[in-house]
Order: sequence, then structure tokens, then C-alpha cells
Amino acid sequence: MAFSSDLDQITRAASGDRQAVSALVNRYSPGVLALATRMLADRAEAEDVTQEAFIRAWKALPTWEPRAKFSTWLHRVALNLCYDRLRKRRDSTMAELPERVDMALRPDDALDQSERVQAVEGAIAALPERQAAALTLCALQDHSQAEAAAIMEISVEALESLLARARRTLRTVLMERSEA
Amino acid sequence: MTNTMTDARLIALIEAWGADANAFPETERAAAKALLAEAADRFADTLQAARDMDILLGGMPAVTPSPALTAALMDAAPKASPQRRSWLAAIPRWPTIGAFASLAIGLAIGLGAAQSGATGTADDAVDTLVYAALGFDVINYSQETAQ
Repeated sequence: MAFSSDLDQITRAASGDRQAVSALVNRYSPGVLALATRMLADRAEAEDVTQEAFIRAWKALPTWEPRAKFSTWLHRVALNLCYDRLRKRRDSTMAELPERVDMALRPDDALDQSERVQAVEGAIAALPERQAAALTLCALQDHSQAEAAAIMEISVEALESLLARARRTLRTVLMERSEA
Repeated sequence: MTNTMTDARLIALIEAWGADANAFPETERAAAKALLAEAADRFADTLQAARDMDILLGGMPAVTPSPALTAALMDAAPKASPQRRSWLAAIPRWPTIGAFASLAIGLAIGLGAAQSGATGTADDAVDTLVYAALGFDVINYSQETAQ
């Protein structure tokens, strides 16, 4: 249903229909921005990636061929842009992990919510990029297993493996901090 | 289906997809649920660790685009190309309509005058019609011409 509705809106958006453009922006920009924010741990950079992904989408609209869902394609573009930026970061400076917040992180602890969020965001951003992507797409967003795998261009089995490692690493990191 | 699900596989599923069995791959979901129902104690620790992580991840706030970002995305979108107007459309309408109306009225009056006063040949009739349409007094003009 969403697929055919996308096609209709893509066709109309390509001809400059503002309502269709607005619908696509409202439907997909939160997910793309969230993915980029979790991956990059930098809101300004995440907004740049979101803009770049949409600019590429707008350019692709007139010749759009529905071989993949628009949502999958758009998130894949955004994810690849994130990978590029992370690689450039690593190349230009020795990657400094996002500032860590040392505190207990178990959910039953009386922690300030914003500090906990900051700590988890930092820990996700510090994960290997594919693990961070898998965790963000599956655990923080509502993508199906098949769609998350399609966005990452891997099998569901490979996605499962990345997810398991991501959750294990995240748990270890957060537990270490809580014990520190 | 329970016999196709091993403890090791169930633990792998929990560690990857979390404590909620509804998030497991559909093909293994029923078998996993059956094994969990059958021997919940064996997986209690794994489930608790996964549940803690689910709560942490579920508590992450939604990321919302700012109005400025939304506006920038909209601005970058394709614009409707302006419709082409023919050169005729560029001509102001009312003066044109007025000119055609004046011409039609002139022709009608002239034709009436010519029919009432026409006595000459076919050429004369045409001349009379044209002069009348242009607003000349046909009878006077004929008299002046004769003089």
C-alpha cells in the first residue's frame, strides 16, 4: 500500500506538486535524520546528510524506477553518506570517541534521563559503523528485518549477526562504565 | 516446531532481536515461543539482559527535523515548470475585444447604409460597403466624387 502510494507521490513530486513533495519530506525526513544522527552523533552533520540524501532523491525522481522501495533507497543513500563521513573523520583525525558519560546505566537506576540518553547515544556512535547501522535501523526505528537488510545490502542472517554483536558490545561498554 | 529450536539458537535470537519474541524472524517465531513457554527458567538471565537493553534503547527520544531543515528540503525539491503562454495570450484582451466589436458594429451599420442607398454596379456596392464600414458618409462622398 505504502509502495503504490509512494509511486503516486513520487510521480507527482517529480512534476513539482508541492503537496506530494511535502508528503515525502514529512514521511521520510525524520527516519533519515534519526539514522544519520545516531550514526554520526552530530546533529549538524546529520542535517547535512539528510539534505544531501533528499537532494539526490529529488534529482532521481524524474527517472525513478521502482526497483526498490523509495524509503529503502533513500535510507541506503543516507547510510552510505554517513559511512563516507565516518571514513573521512577517521582519515583526517584519529577518531575521538564521543565524550563518554561515566555513570551507572541500568534502566532501574535513578539516572537523569538526558544523561542516560547521551551515554547510550555515545556508545552507539562508538560501535563499528555497520553494527551501529544495524542497531539503529532495527532497534531504534521501525524497519522490518527485510527492509533493514535491504538498506544495508546484506542478508537477514548477516543483519542478525551484526545486531547480536552490537547489543553485546553496547552492553559491555555500558556495564564497564557503570562499574568504573 | 519446538523440536527444531535448540537452546543455543533461542539464545542467539534473544541476543540479536531482544527479549520480545514477536521481533524474532517469522519463520522461527512460533518454535521460539514454544520453547520459551516450555522452559522459561533456562533463558531467564538471557531474557533479563536483553530486556534491560530493550528498555535502554526504547527510551531513546525520537529525532525530529527542525522547521528550517524541512523548509530546506522542500526548497530543494523539483519545482513545477511555468506553463508556456502563446504570443496571443500576451496581448491584452479587453482592447482587442473592443477593437473587434467596433469593427463588427461599423460593418453592420455600413452594410445597412449601403443596402438602403446602393444604386450602382457590384463594384460600387463593394466600395460603398467599405466606405460605410470605415465611417464615411456614403451619399455625400458619392456626390463629392460626382462634382
